[in-house]
Amino acid sequence: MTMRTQVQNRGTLAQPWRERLAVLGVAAGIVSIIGIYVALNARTGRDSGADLLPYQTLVRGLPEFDQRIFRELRQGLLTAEGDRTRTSTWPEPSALAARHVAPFASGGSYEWSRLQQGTIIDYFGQPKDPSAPAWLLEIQEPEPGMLPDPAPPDEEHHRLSDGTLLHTYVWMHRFGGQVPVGFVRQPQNVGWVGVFSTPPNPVFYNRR
Amino acid sequence: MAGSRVNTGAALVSVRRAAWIAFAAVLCVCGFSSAHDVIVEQQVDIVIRPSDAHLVVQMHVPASAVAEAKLPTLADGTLDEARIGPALEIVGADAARNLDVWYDRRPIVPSQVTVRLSADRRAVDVALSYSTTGANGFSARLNAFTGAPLRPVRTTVQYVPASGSPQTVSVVGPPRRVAFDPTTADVISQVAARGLSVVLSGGDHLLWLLCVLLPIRRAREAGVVVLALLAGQLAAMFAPALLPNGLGSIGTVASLIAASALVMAALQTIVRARLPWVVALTAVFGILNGCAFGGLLVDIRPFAGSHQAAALAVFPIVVDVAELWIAAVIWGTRTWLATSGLQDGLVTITAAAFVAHTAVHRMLDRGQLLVQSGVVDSMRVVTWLTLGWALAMVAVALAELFRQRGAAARARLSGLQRA
Repeated sequence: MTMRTQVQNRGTLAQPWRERLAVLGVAAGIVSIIGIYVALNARTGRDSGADLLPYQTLVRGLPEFDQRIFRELRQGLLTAEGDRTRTSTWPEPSALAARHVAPFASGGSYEWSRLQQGTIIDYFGQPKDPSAPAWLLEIQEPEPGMLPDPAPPDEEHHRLSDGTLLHTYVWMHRFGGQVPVGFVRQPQNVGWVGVFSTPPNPVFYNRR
Repeated sequence: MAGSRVNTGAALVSVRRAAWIAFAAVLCVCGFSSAHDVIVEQQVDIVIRPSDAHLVVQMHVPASAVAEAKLPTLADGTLDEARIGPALEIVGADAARNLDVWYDRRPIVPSQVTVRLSADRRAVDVALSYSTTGANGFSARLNAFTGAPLRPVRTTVQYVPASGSPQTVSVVGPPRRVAFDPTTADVISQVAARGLSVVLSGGDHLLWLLCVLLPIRRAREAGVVVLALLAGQLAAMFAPALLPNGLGSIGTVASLIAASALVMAALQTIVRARLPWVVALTAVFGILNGCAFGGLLVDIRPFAGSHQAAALAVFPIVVDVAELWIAAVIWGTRTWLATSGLQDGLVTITAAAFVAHTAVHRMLDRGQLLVQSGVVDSMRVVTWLTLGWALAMVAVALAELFRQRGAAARARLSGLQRA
């Protein structure tokens, strides 16, 4: 009969535990550094708008008066979208002003016009004060025959109750008194700056 | 026979290591191939003087910073006073609107706006007067002028309080609201966030830590190296902050030499230099790198208002703690990788080559800054300096290659003799 004796060294037993602890420590360190980096980026990146293109800006960096116009435009757009769903046409600014929808009824500091080319609709706001910025609310309807857009609803993508997905953008132009009223095909090429609440999702930012 | 196989294996490892070194040298030399653009800033100067009943703002805005206003110019590029007419008033109103001064956390509008051309007719001078009920609690939105990618705008504000010493704040990049009388809590949180983001944003110090902690070291040795770095940084960090005009171009020279020291550290890693040499070079690098951190401290201090001491205390503490933490993670990861069977030479030499390559790029960038500021006469000096380091890398690689080939040949010979 053979007798087998198992001798285990205490050091050998402790080795896997030590290695596991080391791995956990390193993992915790790496995760904590990444966590702090992401938190810092979320804090500073929101303010600096590091992910924006040169012709884009965040609304929180604008003067208080311009921030108010931006919020009103975004709010007024919802009313206009309601009209579009009911009547299949976009309302005239004068009709929105008559219903006291801001900023179209903003006490005469802006002259609003509706301009359209194909499936793109512009609401153009020219300031009475030539030093104030001009504003442009741009709405892109889907082209007939195009495949459905997979973008999820967000600030730029609005889905009407009939299922139509709109692309909506807000632009501003410094020294608005010098900007001629007219349809603007590519605002970013003629000095307009796109205004956003948060940096747009680059995957679904597909202006035509 | 067995001895011969062992020696042949050792020779193969040596040749592989030498090949890696040669690859590292080539990678380092590749640092020259990219071109760099020259950036010229446009300077907007603002002086803000609060008093009990008024806030007076004087702005000096170069015409190029308000290009969107399309001001009429003459053939020599100066503004045309005869044709400028109401456009000047529009520029003044736009400047006031975008400065967006707040008092007691609410926007205020100027009661008087005066605009005129500067004496050289290349800028617009705007004077704004605000009615207030106190001399504290102001903030303004700075650097709201439009620049171009290679001609960014920098706004420098001199804030002259009714009592106390004037503060100078300089802002570049996107518009930013700056409070001229921040609270202590605001200052601590801003300085801590800035310190952490600086440490984590990939400066020279991270490359250095990576380089010196790559070779397998015991915890005590690693600790000595890291402490040498922190001591050097602390020794130099306050110098720029305490000098009246900061370090000026000396800071850029220091960072250029620091980048050179990084190349030396990469060489030390490749040839496996002894610890005392590594510690000495680390302390020198720490002093040079500390100047760069000191430069940041100089930039941060004006935003602290009257809480200068808090900013001076919090920044180095946050920087040192964050670096210690990163060093611990690098050392722990490296030690763990060593136990996982990964080939030591592969990790060390590849990472050292990466560090040297990045350092060569940084040397070129900083050299260009020196050329722009007029400290160095021409880019040729910088190019030769960088080329010198790259050649040093190649020379070390070749020396190491010949040394290891010689050692391998000797080992083979002794193996054959024994067999």
